[in-house]
Amino acid sequence: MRRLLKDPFTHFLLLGAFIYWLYGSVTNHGVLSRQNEVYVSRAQVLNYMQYKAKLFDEERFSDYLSSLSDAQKKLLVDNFIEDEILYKEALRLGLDQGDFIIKQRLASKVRFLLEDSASQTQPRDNGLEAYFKENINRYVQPASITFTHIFFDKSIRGKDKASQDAINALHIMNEGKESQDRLGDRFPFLINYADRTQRYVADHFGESMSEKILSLTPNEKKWQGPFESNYGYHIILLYDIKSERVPSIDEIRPQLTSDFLQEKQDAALRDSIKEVKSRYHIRVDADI
Amino acid sequence: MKKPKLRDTLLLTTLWMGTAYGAPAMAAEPYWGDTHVHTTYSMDAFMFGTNIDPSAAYRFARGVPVIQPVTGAWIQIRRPLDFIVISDHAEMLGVAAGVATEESLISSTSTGRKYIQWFKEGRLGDIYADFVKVLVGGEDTDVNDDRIKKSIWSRVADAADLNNLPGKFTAFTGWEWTSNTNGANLHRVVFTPADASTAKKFTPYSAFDSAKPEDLWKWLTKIRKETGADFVAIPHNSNVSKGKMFDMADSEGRPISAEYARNRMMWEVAAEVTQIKGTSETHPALSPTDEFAGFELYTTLLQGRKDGVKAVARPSEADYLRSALKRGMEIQQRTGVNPYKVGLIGSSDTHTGLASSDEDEFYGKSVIDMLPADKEKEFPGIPTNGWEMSASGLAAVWATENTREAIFAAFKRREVYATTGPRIMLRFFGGFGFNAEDASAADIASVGYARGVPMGGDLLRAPKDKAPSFLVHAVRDPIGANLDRVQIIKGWVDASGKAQERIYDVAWSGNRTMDVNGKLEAVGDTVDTENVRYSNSIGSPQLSRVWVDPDFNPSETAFYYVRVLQIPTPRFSLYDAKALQIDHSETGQPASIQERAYSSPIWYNPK
Repeated sequence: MRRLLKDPFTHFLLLGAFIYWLYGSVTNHGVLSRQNEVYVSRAQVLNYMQYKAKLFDEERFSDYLSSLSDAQKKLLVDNFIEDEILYKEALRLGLDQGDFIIKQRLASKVRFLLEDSASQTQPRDNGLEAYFKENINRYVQPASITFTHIFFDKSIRGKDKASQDAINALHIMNEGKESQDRLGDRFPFLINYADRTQRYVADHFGESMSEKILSLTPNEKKWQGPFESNYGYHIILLYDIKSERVPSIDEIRPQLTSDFLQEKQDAALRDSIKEVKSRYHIRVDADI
Repeated sequence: MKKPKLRDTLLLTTLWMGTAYGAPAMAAEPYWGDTHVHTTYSMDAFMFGTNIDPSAAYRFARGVPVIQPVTGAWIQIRRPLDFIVISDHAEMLGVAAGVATEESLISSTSTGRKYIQWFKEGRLGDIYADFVKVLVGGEDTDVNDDRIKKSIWSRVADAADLNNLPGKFTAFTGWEWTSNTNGANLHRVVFTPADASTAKKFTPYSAFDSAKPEDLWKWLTKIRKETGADFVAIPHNSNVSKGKMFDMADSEGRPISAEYARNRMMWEVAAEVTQIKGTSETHPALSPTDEFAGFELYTTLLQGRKDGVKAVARPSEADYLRSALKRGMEIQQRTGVNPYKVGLIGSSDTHTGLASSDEDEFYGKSVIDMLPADKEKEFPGIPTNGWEMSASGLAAVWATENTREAIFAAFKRREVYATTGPRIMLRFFGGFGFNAEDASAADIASVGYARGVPMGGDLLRAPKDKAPSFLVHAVRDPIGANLDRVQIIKGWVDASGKAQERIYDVAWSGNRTMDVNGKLEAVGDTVDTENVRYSNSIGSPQLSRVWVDPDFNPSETAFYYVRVLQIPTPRFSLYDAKALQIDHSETGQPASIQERAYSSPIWYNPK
C-alpha cells in the first residue's frame, strides 16, 4: 500500500480523478453527480451481452460468461464501460436533446404509462344518462318506411305500356276487383319493404322515387302511384313511415355503457396529459 | 324463439297474387358478412400498423364511423354488414400489442424481450419476419404463453358479445389457426356461435399446439364435448397451399380414409373461394376450357425470398376448389365418404380491421398498402405488394333471421355463397320437377323450397328417365353493375373413376348468340379508363332460368354450382391509378374485371 501511494502513476491517476471530479462538479452546477460514475455488476454485463447478441436467454449467457477467460472477460467489461461512458457523455453534452427518434420513443413511453393508468378508470353508472343526453345525436335511429308494391317492367312492356298498365292496376286494386291475370312483373329486389331506411329504399328504387314515397301519407287501404323508378312503374301500398326517433336508454344500454366507458378512459388520458402540460410553461410563436 | 319480425310477416302475407308462400320463413334477401377480419390483436396486422382493435372493427362493420389508421380521418362503411367474424391469429394472439406496452407477461419471456427491443428500434418488419419464420418452421416459442392468450381471448369474447345485437348484427367469436409449415398455407378460420362465458372455457387452438389439421379437428371435437361450444372451420388461400389443402393424402402421407373424411366434414363445411389474396376457384392450367378461369390469381407464397428469388405457387389440383370438389367425389368412390363436400364463401382476410371489399371502397390488405401511394411497397418478409391484392371477399348467407344460431345453422347446411364484393343476390335450387315457367315465378324461393333443395344440399337417386333441373335466379347489386351471364359448372365422375368438368352458360343478357363451339359472345366493356366510370347500358339487372342437365347420367356422382358474372367494372387499382395520376398499366393489373358470385354446390348422389 505504501509503495502504491508513492507510485507516481498513482499520483497521476488521483490527480486525473480529482480534475475529472472538479470538472464534473462544476458543469453540474456544483452538485456532485452520479453521472460520472460507472458501476459494473454481473447482472449488467449479462444484460449487455443479451442485447448485443439480440438473444435473450439468461441462463445460457450466464454459463457462457463464466466460461470466459480473464482476458476475454476484461475485453467484454471494457466494451461495456466504453458504451456506458459514451452514453453518459452523450447525455452530458445534451445529445439526447432534439433527437427526434429519442423524443418519440420517450413520449410514447409516457403515453403508454398514462394510458395504462387511465384504463384503470371504472366509472359508476350514474353518469350514463347525462352522457346519453350529451351525445344523443349518435344514437338517433333514422326514419324508416314500410310498404309493398306492384311493379311494371319497362324493359318488358315498354315505357308507355308499363305506365298505362300501372294506372289500370291502381284502379283494379283500389276497387277491390280480382284480376284474371297476375298483376305486375318480378321486381329485381324485394316485394315487401319493412322498416327500411330511406337510403336503402333509394338504393333499390332511385333517389327521386324514394323521396316521393317519404312524402306520402300512409294508408293501408289505398294503393298510391304510379311512381317511376329506374326499372319501370310501381304502385305502392304504404303501411307506415316511422320518423327519426331517439331510443330509450334500455334499448341501447350495452353499447351506451361501452361508449361511455371508452369516453371516460379517453377523458382520463386527456386529463393526465393536461395535468402534465400544466407543469410546463408553453410559448407558441405567432407566425407558425 | 324470437317474435317474428314484421318483415317476415309481410313476406308470408299473400297480398294479391293468390299464391300461397310455402317457403320456410327465410329472409327475403341474404345476410351479408365477412368471416375473416384481422385486427391489431393479430401479430402481423399490428406490425403492419393497424390500431383497429376488435371493438373498432365491429363498430366499422356495423356502420359506425371510426378513425382511419393512416390518415386519422373519420371513415364510415357505405353499407353496413349483417354479420362478422373477427379472426385474429391464435399464434401469439395479442403479443404485439403487449410488446408495445411492455406488458410484464410479455417481457418475462426471452422472445418477448427480443421483440420489445426490436420494437424500440423501430424494427417492426423484423418482428413480422420472425413471426413468419416461426410459423414456417412450425416451431413453438416461449412468447406463445397461455396466460397472455387467456387475457386477450377473454377481451375478444367480451367484445363479440357486446357487439352482438340479435336481429340487427351478428358478432361471432373466432380466430385463425395459422398452420404454415414450409410456407404451405393450411390456414383455417374457426368460429363459434357460443357466448363469451362458454368461449372463455378454452383458449384458441393454434398451429403451435399442432400444425396438422387432423389435430385441430380432434381438439374441436374434444372442446365441443367439454364445453358445448360448436364450431365451423373455414380453409382459405388454398391457392398458396403448395398442393396441400385438398390433398389426396393426410398429414402422414397416407391415402385419405373414410374416417379422415368424416372428421374433416364435421367442421369444414365451407371454404373461401375468393378473398384479398386472390381466387381459389380454379386456374387456367387446371381448367383450360374455362375462358373466365384467369381471374384475380394470386401466386406469391407466404414465405420469404430464397437466394433472392420469389417463391411462386405452381397450380395443383389440391390448391383450387373446383378440382377439390372433383377429387372429393373420386375419394368418395374409393372410401364411401367425400372429404371435400364444401360450400363456397368469400371473405376479405383484411389485416386492417376494416371489412370492406368494394373496388371503390377498399382499404387494402393492410396498413402498409392502405393508401394508393403505398400500393407498390413490398411487404416485410413476403415479396408482394398492394397492387397484387384483390378488393374481394363477401359471404352471403340464406338464413331465417340475423342471429348467431340462424347464421351458424345456415353454414352447417352450406346454404351460403360467395361474391367478390358486390351484393349480387343469388338463389339456386335443384330438383326433378322444375318447369321452364318456374323461372318467371314472382317468388322464386317459394317454388324452390317447395319442389327442390337449396344450394349446399343433396339430390338423391333420380326418378326413372328424369334428369335434374335447376332453378336459378341472380339479381345485380342494387347500387352496382348489371349482370353478364349465369353459368352452371358441373363436375362428375365418369365410368373410369376420373372426375370431369364442364361449364354451361344458362342465362345471359341481351340477344347474344352462341357460336358453333358453344361459346357465347362477350358482353362488352363500358369502362372508361380516363374517368374511371362504367355504364349499365349493357348487361341485365336480373337473370333467371330453369336448366335441365342435357348430359345427365343417373349412375354418375355429380356436383353443380353456379357462377354469375357481372359486366366489366373498374378494378380498385384503376381508381388508385387515377388518384395517383399515373397510367393504370403501371399497376401491372387490368383496368377492368368481371366481378362474380359463386354458389355452394348441389350434389347428385346415385346411391
